[in-house]
Amino acid sequence: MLFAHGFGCDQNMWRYITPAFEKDYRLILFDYVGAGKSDITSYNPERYSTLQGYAQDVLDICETLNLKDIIFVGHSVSSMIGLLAAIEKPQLFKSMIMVGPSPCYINEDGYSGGFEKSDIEGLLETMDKNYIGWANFLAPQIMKNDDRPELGQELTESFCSTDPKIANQFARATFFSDNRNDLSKLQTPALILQCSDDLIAPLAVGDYLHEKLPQSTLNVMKAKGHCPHMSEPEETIKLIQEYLPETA
Amino acid sequence: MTGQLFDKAPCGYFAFFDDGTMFESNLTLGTILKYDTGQLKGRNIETIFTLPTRIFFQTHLFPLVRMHGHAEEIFLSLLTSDGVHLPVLLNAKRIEFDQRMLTCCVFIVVPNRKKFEEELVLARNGAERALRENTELLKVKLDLQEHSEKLDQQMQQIRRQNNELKQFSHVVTHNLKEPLRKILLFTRKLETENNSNTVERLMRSANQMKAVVNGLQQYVWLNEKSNQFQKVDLNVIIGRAQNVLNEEIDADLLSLHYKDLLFLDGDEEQLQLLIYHLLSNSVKFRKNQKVNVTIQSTILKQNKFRSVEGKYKYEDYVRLEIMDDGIGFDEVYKEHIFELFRKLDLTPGQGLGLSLCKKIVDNHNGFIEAHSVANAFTKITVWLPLHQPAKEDQ
Repeated sequence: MLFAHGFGCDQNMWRYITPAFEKDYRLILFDYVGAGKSDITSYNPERYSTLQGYAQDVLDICETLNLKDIIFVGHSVSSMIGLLAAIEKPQLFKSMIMVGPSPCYINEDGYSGGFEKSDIEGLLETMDKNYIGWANFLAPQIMKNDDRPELGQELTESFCSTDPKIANQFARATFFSDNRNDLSKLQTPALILQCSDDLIAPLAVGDYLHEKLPQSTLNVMKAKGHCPHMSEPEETIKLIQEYLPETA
Repeated sequence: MTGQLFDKAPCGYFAFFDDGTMFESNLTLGTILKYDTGQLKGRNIETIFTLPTRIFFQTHLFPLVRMHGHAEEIFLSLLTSDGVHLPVLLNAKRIEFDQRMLTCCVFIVVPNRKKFEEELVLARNGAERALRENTELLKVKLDLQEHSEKLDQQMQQIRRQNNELKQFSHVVTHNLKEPLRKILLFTRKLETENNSNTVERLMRSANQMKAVVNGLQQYVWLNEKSNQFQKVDLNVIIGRAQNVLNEEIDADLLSLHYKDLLFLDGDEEQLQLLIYHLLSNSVKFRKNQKVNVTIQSTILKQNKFRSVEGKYKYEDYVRLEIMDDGIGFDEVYKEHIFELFRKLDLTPGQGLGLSLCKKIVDNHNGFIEAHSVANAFTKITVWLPLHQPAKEDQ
């Protein structure tokens, strides 16, 4: 199982999900370049100006580790990154688990993605403000954790840290992406985990995906928000297990 | 501090569950956001955020607090009941309460700080923009981009030509020398004895040499001919290639399946030759009485830079997959089958078809690869740019 984190975080976000699968599967977790503990010097603004460069990261990982029969678990934008990778190398992928996916975030000619361009500009502005020196909370954390000292060691390491410039470009690549025309090309079966009240991937988007993805199963979760793997890990695990024939 | 005092403290306070439901808040929050007492409890927390803040909350703040347990000095915009945006600075902490996890937040409204901050952001963005918009810099960048693309193409061309040169010398030294050696040998024999078998073998060698020379001619033709790019309908091209092939073989040997293939920019004559050779190979290397060939096409983005490292420009390519159920080949040879006069078997032919295919694909700035399982299938994948540059620039 290959777990790909979404925009705004790093591989740590899977920590409530992975223990349920580590017995039955080989688990691969990674940080995209610019997130988590990745090597920032490998960042190439050209490569990562579109989701295609991120999809290449996924394929590079598959090739380097010689992965086969991959169950790809992608959160948010990583669902589409996984889609691009699986369209290019269908022979590597067995199934796709898409957590809160959306093929296009901006409303456009009859399609309702949930956002206007100005909303995304507003997000970029909010991110900018939180990245100014004194509020650099997404930079590597060196903070004490007074009430839970056992977590201290971990928290001195990078946590959900993202380089501000890279985060800005990732936000642009994410929210201005449009993969609607790629959906019909997917040959791999896909599970869409749709949250019941998700601002970033609304119900209508889940229905749209289900209609356009050839072999898809849509599951509307009880979980609300955009991060069911963090807010409702048990439900998320149960639905993934029910979908995978090995654990069903 | 008593609850009553906290209600009126000069800071906003609210707490919510992981599903976003507001558990409690103090009076100050209601006053700031212009809600009556009791209106806030049970609401979704996101209803007091502006839309950009809601996205930021979902992608950054919630994951951070959920994993980290707390967050400090977060800048957000709150939304009052009458639609006014309020800049706030917020601290959050996750606390267990009544066996459920609550996220408690306090904030202060920071309109003046916002102004200061906006100036900072503006100044920084201004500096960045100045850098970005430096026209000279941009021009240099464009030039550089153009040069990189040219360089990449030239590097590819040089690499190809080097390979071809090597293969050519092999052809000349081996493929032409061998029949020539035989012709000389049999001619000498013919001088001494008048054996009809010798004449036949002499003819065979001469014919073989003729075929090699013909093949080389086609290859050179493809090397020197200028490409005539136009919009090409793959469905039409394949139909024509099949017709040409059917004049040479029994039409029942090939069962061809394709539907709704794409249009792309290409040289019609060359692409028809490409399909012809691929189909001809499938027929030649069939496993059963009849070979089944399926052709599919998909548009995918690929990095157009193939030689220069660290350069990326994703463009639309047509992936054309030609799959048969023939005898296949051992994949250890998959890098070699496109070389000139490379043959893996003893069937008739010159081992030229696939090198011509490679040449045609090269002419289109595409790439070709083969995948096979012996006795099961051969899949030839051809990547061709969907759009060719308006003018040939070589």
